[in-house]
Parts: sequence; C-alpha cells; structure tokens
Amino acid sequence: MSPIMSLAQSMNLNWLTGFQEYCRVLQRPSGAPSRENAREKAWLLLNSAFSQYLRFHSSRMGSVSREDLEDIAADKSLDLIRRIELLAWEPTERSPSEITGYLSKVARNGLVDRLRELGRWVEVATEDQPEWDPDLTVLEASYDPRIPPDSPSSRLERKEFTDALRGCAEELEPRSRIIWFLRVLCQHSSKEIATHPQVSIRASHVDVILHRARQALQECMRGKGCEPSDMPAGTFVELWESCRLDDALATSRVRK
Amino acid sequence: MSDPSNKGHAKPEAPESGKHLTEGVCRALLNDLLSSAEKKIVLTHISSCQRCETAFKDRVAERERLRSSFALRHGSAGDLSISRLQAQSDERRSSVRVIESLRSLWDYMQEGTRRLRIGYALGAVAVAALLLILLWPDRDGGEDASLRWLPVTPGGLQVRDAEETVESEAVAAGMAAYANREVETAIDLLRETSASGRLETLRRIYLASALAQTERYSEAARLLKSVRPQTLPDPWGSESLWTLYVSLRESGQQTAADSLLRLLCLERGEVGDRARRVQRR
Repeated sequence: MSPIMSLAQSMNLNWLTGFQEYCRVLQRPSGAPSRENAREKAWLLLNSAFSQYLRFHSSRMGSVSREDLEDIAADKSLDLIRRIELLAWEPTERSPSEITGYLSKVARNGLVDRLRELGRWVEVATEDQPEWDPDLTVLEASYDPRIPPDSPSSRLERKEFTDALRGCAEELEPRSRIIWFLRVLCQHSSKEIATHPQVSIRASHVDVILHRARQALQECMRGKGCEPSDMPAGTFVELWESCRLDDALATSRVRK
Repeated sequence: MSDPSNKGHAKPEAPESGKHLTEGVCRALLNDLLSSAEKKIVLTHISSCQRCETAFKDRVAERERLRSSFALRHGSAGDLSISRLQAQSDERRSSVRVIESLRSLWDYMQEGTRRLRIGYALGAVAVAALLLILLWPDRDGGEDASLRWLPVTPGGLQVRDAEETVESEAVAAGMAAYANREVETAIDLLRETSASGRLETLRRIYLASALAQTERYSEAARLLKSVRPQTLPDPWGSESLWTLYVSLRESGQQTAADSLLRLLCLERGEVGDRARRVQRR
C-alpha cells in the first residue's frame, strides 16, 4: 500500500481514535478534569456517525423527516454516552469495525422503531439481514487525497477573493460574523441561528444583525473591487477557518 | 497494471469510490482530530474540489444545526439528559407591537408635559401611573445612588408617519432586548443603527441606559448630553437625567455630577426624592 493510501485510511479512522480517547476520559472517576468537554465532544461525534448511518439505512428501509432523524441520532447518542459512563459499553476495547458495526446496528434499530411508530415498517420474517450491516469499507469509502492540479490563474483569483472576503468578515463583530456565516453559507434559519451557543439571541435580532452584516460586507468587498456574489470554490473553507466555530467547544459546556 | 516508471512495482489502484472526501475524514476534520499535516492535505483538497466542498458544507451546516438544536443537560442528581432548544417566541408580532408602541411613545412623551396641570394632569398622571405600575421592569433594588431601568411600553403610542424601516425595526428590537435585560444585545442593536428625529432620540436614551448598565459610563454620558434629557417628559426625562448623573459620577466627572445632583434635588417626584436622599449622605 502506498504511503498516500495508508495516510488516507488512517485519516478515515481518526475520528474513532479520538472517540475512544474521549471514552477513556468518561470512564475515569467522576469529577475528573475535562470530563464535561470529553462528554460533549463524544456526543457530537456519535451524533455525526448516527446521522450518517441513519441516512444510509433510511435510503434502504424507508425515509423519515429530518427532525425525526435528528431526534433518533440525539437520543441514541445520549443513550450510548450514559452506557459508556456506566461501563455498560466499552468502545475503548473494540476495533474500529466493531464500533462502526455496532453504531450502524443501533441506528438501524432506532430507525425501525420510528418507522413502526409511523406505521411504515413492514415486518419481515427474519431480522438481521446481512446487507443491513455494511462493513467499514462501504460506509467509509476510501479517500485518496491526491490533489488534482489547479491552474495558477484560478488559484490566484481564488486567493484574492478569499483574502478580501476573509478580511472583510474579520472586521465584523464576532457574533455578526458567525450569524452571517450560518445564514449565508450554512443556510440556517433565523430560529436555528438564534439558539446556536455562540449566538444566543432572539430570532428577530438575528434578522437585524444579519441585514447589517450583509450591508457591511457588500460595501467592504466593493471597496476592494470584488462582488460578493462571485464566490469561487474554496471560499467556504477559508471562511469556516476564520469563523472558528469549533472553538466554541472549548468554551461551551454541558449546561446545568 | 505496471507502470514502467515504477521499476516494476504495481501502480496503486485508485479506490473504487474515487478521490473524494469520506464521511470519516470529514468527521475527523470537523472535530479537530487531524494532525496539522493531515488537515492541510484535506483542506487543500476541499478548496479545489467542488463536490467535496459541497459535501463539507453540508456537514458543517448539519453539525452547527445540531449545536443549535440540542443541549446536553446535567440534572442535580447527576443524571444526563438532552433537550431540544427552541428560539424564543417569534418576535415578529411583538416587534410590530413595539414598533407601534414606538410610534405612539413619542406622541405620548410630547403630549405629556413635565409640569402636569390640574385636570388634564390628573388623567395623565393616572394613565402614567397605571403604565408604570403595569409595565415598569423590576427594580434592581439597589441603593438610591444606583441606576434605574427606563420603562418600555409595549402598548399604544403612535409616531406619526413612522415606517417599518430597518432602522425602526432595529430600534424596536433593541428596546425589546433592553426590556428583557439582554443588555449586550440591546447595545449591539441600538449601536449598529442610526435613525433621525424622534426615533433617534429614543435610540440614544435607551442605548445610553444600556451602556450605563454595563458600566460604560463615559459613552453613556456623551450620548445623554447630546439629547438633552431635560426636554423629555417624565419618567424618561428625569430618569435619563438620573442616568446622566450616575454616568458623570462614575466616569470621574465629579464637578458636573454634583452640579446635576443639585438640580435634581429641585425636582419633584421620585427622582427628586432620590437625589435629596443622596445629597443628605
């Protein structure tokens, strides 16, 4: 296996390694430092994994609403966190494929339960069909990080635009910047933005701040000779890095 | 298939799924579980691959939606639970009500006089007293020398020809935040906008009050001096003067504060009583 391929595979499993590390922290005695942080990070990872597996299974078994999927993922994640802390489930001792297989099964069962509630589940003679337990290679398709060549002119154009937009965005107040990012780039509604831990204001206030942020960015970008609507590929990554949304995990905690 | 340039070694086969971001890598990136070198490789790829950028954007949106929608909570008994977060009630209707109240607030402030006359005064005093009793935010219960909150009346004043402009919406939203003691939000909203005429006066006095509540006294004093609170009807006029007094005092402008306090001691009503109690100390 080439070094690049092995790097790709190792990156694919990084989240499992991180998850196991958080679980080790959770299994320490209560009151251990950084326990709350580990709990929240583990919960987010589980949620993300469950969301993926639920999408996979619902494409085969029957679809439910996005809100139902979110509820299933959130409930199952919480349930597993509790079990980890009670030592009823010890992923630290499991292989990656055992963990993902288990999560996939839990997700599938959660989906089946919900479909039953909705009256959309057709009982089958035997459960546990093999094709319901995709292995790691199906769920986590290999990633080849070989980068396709990029022309010098498009690289330059992108760099100029992203530098300008990043500069303009960084002139906004941090909360205004995050509100703008969540609306324009993540397409979140005002209600969703309002309850984000880094925002925490009323939905109507979101609209007002967003309007002002858009105006400010448009003026700033035009001042730099750029039209904000002409966002080239690669802009999202730059702005995501500048917003530092993940930094909130360093400050947000399990709410009492 | 062998590659002649590889001296007989088989060229690695591209994986069946192609050369794109996987869920696992995306998850690791979003949760800061990649090394710097790995992160650089991944981000460089995403920047130049539209398909992966779209997928990454979806995952970022999903993750931030999760953080907006749920909160882990720790009960007093140590039990863990999650709750679905909901935005505070749709402010659209209450914003409209507050805008309407802005409209009528000014007329009320102008129609009421600072020195009430008997007859008309009795009715106006009754109305004002009723409004204050019903609508005055909870007192902070502090000492006489401390700040007071301005009242925000959600019902019934009309500003002539007021339009529901973004500016009036911003002022209304700022006042709604102020009424809920969300002071920093009120400051953000009121500071980021500017209006004209009556709306601007309202904006300034509420912004000044909010600034003073967060101990930004110099700025509060500057704002209040620009609107001449003594021209406003009570309670806004007298309470804004009181805010000005506290702001001057706390920002080290003692001479000006003392001078204002002496003037306030000549006032009737609550602010006058408060000023006299402070001066007696």
